[in-house]
Amino acid sequence: MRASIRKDAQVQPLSRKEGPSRETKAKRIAYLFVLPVFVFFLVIVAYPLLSVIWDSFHDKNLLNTGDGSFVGLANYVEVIRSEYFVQAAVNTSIWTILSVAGEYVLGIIAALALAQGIRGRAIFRGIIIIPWVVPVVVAGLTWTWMLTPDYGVLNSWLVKLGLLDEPFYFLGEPDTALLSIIIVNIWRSFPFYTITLLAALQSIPRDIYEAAALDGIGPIGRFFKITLPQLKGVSIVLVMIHIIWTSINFDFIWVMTEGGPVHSSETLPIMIYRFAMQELNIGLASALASLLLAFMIIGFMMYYLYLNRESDHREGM
Amino acid sequence: MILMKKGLRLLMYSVIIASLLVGCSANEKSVSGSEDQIVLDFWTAWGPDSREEEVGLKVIADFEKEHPNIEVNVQVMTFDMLYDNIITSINAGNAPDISWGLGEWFSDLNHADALLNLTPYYEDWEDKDLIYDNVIKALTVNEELKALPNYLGNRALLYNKDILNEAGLEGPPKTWKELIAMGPIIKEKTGKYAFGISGTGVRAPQELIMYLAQNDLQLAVEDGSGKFKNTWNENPEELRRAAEVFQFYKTLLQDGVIDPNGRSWGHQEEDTNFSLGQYAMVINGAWMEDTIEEAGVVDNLGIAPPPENASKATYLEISPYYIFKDTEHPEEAWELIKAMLGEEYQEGANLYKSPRKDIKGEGVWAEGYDGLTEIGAVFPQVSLGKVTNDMTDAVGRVLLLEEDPEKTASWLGEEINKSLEANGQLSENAVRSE
Amino acid sequence: MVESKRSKRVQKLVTYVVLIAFSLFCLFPFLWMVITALKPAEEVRSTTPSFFIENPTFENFLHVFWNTGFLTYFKNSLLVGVTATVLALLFSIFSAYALSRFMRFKGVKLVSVTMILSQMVPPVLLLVPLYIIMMRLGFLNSHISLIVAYTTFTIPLCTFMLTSFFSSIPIELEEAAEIDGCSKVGMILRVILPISIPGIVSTSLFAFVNAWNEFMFGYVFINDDSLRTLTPGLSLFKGLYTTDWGSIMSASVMSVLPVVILFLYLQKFLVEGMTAGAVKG
Repeated sequence: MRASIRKDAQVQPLSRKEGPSRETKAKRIAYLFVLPVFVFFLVIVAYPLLSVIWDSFHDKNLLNTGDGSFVGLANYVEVIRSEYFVQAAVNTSIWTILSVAGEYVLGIIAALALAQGIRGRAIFRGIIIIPWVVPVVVAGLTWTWMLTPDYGVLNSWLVKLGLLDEPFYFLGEPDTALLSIIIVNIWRSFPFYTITLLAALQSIPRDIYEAAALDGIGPIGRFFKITLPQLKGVSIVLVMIHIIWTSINFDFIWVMTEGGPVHSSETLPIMIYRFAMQELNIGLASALASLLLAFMIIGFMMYYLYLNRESDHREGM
Repeated sequence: MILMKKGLRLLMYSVIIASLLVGCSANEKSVSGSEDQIVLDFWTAWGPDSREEEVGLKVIADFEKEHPNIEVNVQVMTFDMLYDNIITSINAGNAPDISWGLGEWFSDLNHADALLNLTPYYEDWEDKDLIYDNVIKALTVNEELKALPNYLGNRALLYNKDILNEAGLEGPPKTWKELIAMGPIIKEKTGKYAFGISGTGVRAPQELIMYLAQNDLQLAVEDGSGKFKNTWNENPEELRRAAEVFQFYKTLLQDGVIDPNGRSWGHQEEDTNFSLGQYAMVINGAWMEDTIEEAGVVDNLGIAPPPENASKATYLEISPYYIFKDTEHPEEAWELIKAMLGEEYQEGANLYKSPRKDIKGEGVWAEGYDGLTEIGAVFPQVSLGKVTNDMTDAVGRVLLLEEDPEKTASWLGEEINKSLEANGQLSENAVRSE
Repeated sequence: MVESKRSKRVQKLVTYVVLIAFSLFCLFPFLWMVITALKPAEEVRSTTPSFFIENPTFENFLHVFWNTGFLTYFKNSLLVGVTATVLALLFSIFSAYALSRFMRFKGVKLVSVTMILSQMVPPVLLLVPLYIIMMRLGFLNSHISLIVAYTTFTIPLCTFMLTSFFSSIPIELEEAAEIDGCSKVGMILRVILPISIPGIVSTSLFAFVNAWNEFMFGYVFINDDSLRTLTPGLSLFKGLYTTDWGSIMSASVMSVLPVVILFLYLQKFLVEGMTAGAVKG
């Protein structure tokens, strides 16, 4: 089908000839198409964002005890000096890195298994998608219930198996709260990786594998020599997006522990919420939010530069 | 050109769809707001299927019958959500007309100038003398009454007589020491924990302020000019007593007096587990009558004053109704509050915790809570948003992070002063608590 | 052919073991949800929880269905989710088309960068200013506030998904259509969309799940119980019914089941859509 169309196009080549008027028209259409989206973003993202940055330099309190005066960097200083900032930053990194790593590993294993030509794979695929469809709140509630010390099924099993002497309050202990939420997050998020990677796997031409098999390369060698490099592009995008989504995630932790006990599972977004809604200090919340945003942009720029250098490098070769 | 037109038409369609949607909502609003019907937004945190809810809805239905032009729009939320929504709505200028809330929010809401001055209405009220004077005083700032009490949540020691008998104990503990001593005995004889605490949520700071008061301590002392200060770090004797309070928490845990999970219990877990007979004693409010009756497990209950240490004290919770300043119908809102303070609701839902002197009830609940108001400690009138969080953290630091009690006490004192300073309420003067 | 039958059989076995392990991991919480939902209160509160239900009951379901706001929340979520999905799709189709064909224009590039940047803004930090904007627009406490927010926050990913999809469609196809006298919009509707159905289905599933799952805006923008959506409604259950896990779990089952069924039904498209997107992207 494609071939025939291409042939038609060759018969009547018409691009480039019509000159600027066509280009202007295209421009007008292009702008018209993106305009509604742009307006949405101005109102819902850009304007609030600017007001956040503005507020971060002012003494502003939700219940108007702040006088709204310009305070320079005072809010930033207070945020960085605040007792739980370092811990929250570390927690955010742990939360993000462990979640994304776990999701990726589970995601790729499940995708590889699903890509094998075996019977019943549609059913398995369906089952594996399920966690991703579960609302975070429901996932949080269900796992909280399973992890409950008194009546929770997981605790009861661990005790029966002799792995625990007595029920352990996973979400209530500072050492395990964050890790428990990470596991639940991995459970809910890995199917997205699986689906995406499965799609990418299925588009790898079969003949590469066959050639490698002929060369006597075993399944494991093929995975590292062919599959992984072929998945590199998709994987980078997938991981980058999830690093961003995970590090700014709010609801998972909020639903399960609200950042507790004693701030042990508090990440920066939770801290923003606490500053804003509990201490009502919009200045502090905005300063922290701006900091988080700055981290993100720096990270993104570094990634962008790396990509550019990589492609320069390739072109240079 | 045709192309442009089609593009435009599509854009127009989407605009039309959008405006239709907007129109819908505008309509919805005008339906409820128009005519001469007055709508009162009333937010509350009634428990599901509780007596409060049952009686409350009935009183409101009767109220609507009596005032055919008023419609009461009741929204039931949890306390957390209530707080978040009140704060955001005040900030956006669309607060409800009336809300039930915690006493801990009083200073913040008053500070934000969000509350209606109720004094003129109160002065004309025929039943005003029926409300306890000290309660009215606690809700009055600069001679303006800024809230009315819904109930008085005094805390007493509730004990399950069956468990105590089974453990061979004669009566409830009168001091901290006796309570701690009972822990291992009860655990050994019955397999149950002796006592319950709440380490998270709204209840945790309420319990902490009570234990502090039992050790003659105040969170912050007023200097006579409306400013406050925490004095623990200036006064070694006070710091020692504060550390003793946190050591008390620690001992409860170490000696197996409390269920280790109590460290993370909210008020629901504390209440439910007691009403299911899973531990022997708790310091709690009279609403437990409803909870215990509904669970139908504990049928041999005793009520005593809370155990003391340096002095007799309990926490006096004044649970208020707030009327917000931005209400367009202050008269009608006041009428509704009057109905909620009327005999029907107070007898039906607040029989043992009514702020009305004429409603007291009888029997074990009435006697158990009698006379506790005099030894009740209340929160100081300062912004408490961060202070109550810090208090919960302090309990967590001792129980979960196993921090040294003296360090925790000193830390909490500092944090309270920081918070006072941030809100411009810190006293410069050297103040001494008596 | 090259590999021995034995190693192939081993590979198959390993695959099955892995897939069964994954299925258990994915399904178990559900199973437990359903079991809890079917247990009477005494069994829910048993300290030795078991799979076996002595006296299975629908009491929890009936209670949630009739005595709580569940049905209202569900209806609201459906309304908000579907509307936001349709709107997001509508806007994304055109912006994705522009992104896939007209990246050479600065304005288009700007929009693309804006969208990438917007992905980095934690919604929680926009909460307060957004609340105030919604209030000024008179959208507060109405579904429009949620529809607007969900639409905006899903547009970027929808656009990117569709862009990679559209990019894989040969430009010659359009040119042929244009010669036939189709306008741009007509061409998109008649040529691009029909061959992009898998992409559109997977994109709309994505948008819908996002809206269906969102919690924070629903929690803060809506005060009126009759307008509340499912996720904040369920979280309310936890606060109010903390010890009544039977009810919480039956509400969870009822909120998850319809979407799971929808997904199982449409999952073929999902993978197809992703595949087509992944080829180019």
